[in-house]
Amino acid sequence: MAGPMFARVGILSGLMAGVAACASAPPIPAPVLSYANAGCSTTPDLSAPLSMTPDKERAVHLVVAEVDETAACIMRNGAAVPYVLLALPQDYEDKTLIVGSQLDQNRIFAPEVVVLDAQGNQTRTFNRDEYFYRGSIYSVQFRPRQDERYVLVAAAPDMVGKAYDAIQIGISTTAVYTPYGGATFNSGTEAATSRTFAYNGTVKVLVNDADTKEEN
Amino acid sequence: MLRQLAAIAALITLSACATPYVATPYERTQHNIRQVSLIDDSLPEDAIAFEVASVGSNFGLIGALVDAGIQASRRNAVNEALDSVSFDAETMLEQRLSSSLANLGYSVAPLTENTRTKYDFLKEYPDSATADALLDVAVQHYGYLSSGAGQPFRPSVAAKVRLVKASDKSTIMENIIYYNVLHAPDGTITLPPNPEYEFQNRDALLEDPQRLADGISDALNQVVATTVRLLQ
Repeated sequence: MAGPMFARVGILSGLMAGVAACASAPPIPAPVLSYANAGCSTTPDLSAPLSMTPDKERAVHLVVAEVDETAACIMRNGAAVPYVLLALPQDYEDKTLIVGSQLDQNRIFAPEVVVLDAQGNQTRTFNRDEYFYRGSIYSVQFRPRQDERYVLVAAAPDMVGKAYDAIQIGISTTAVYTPYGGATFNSGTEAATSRTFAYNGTVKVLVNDADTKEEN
Repeated sequence: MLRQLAAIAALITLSACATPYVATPYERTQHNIRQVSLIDDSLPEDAIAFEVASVGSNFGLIGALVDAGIQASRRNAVNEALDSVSFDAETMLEQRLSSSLANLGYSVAPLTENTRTKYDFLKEYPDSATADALLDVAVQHYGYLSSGAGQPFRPSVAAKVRLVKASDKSTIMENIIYYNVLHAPDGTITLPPNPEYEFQNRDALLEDPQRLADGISDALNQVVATTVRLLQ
């Protein structure tokens, strides 16, 4: 093993997960800042919404949907925009929802969240002031009401192109091997991030269930 | 013969593993709230000036003891600097909250003489003959935070906010607001720090007490603005 050099301490060398995978990492999708699509309907397609009902009761249920060039489109306020339609949980009384867009590496899908009834009519919209950054989700939070069935998350053209710049602090832990045994070393980190609101990205929903003991 | 020591290092970024927080969203149209009593004594006595991953914290008990002394010395010096410019975070926060809520159409009055455990909501809410609701803002910390040795100090605030209906003491809004905090759980509102207020080390923190205070004011104003948005 170390021999006469046992007093030496192993030199710390960190391997970033990204470095290890960089040879085969997929390219980061760029934010799409313009959108044009002919033939968009004026109403959402209610036939195949993405379900927000989990397979079994759990405290938190995550729903994620990518919005890219294959996403459905709708005419809203005279503009064609991509959208995702989600179906509210069947057992809605004890649910609190966070609905919005994931903070991807360089982009945020510019969300406009609209709640619909069973016929697809608008029951609730949210002012821009009601959107907050909740960790990794730019979102609104609400509790479903009796007459509500769907949530439409469409692109908001007035947000597209705006930047969200932030400083993210963190702690990194590095394992170090020494002749005396393993050890860990914690160090502080900072990263300046910049993301652009776009027509593409990731819609993200957290469904919080206040009563997981009841049956679905 | 020299033996090349193979150091196996894995860089693991700690992530927030805590249980997600579930806030209570406020539905203004469902509650006829016009008059709000603002519960006072929202802030801790002193500001923090804390370095999370300090060098000393990595070196066992002796390191931790040395580190605790350094941290306490920095904190005392920062609070003395804030005192030198008569910085009153409590008054600033309460005045800002009152005026901002008044702009939203609420009638606001302070509710004093509450017995509060620092850093947390009131255990029991008093009766009020005039208010429709009581606003309880509990700041868990305010001041400056550095993620670790060599990283700058930036303003940091952690606050819990709750609106309680005066008639039956039911909670009609509750949320957590984190301004430049590590490992914020899912579901909490997170605000990034203003890049204008950055201090490289202890000397920089103490060099300009007014700027030191301005950074905290800016952060608390962001928390107030977020609280007010939650009540729209």
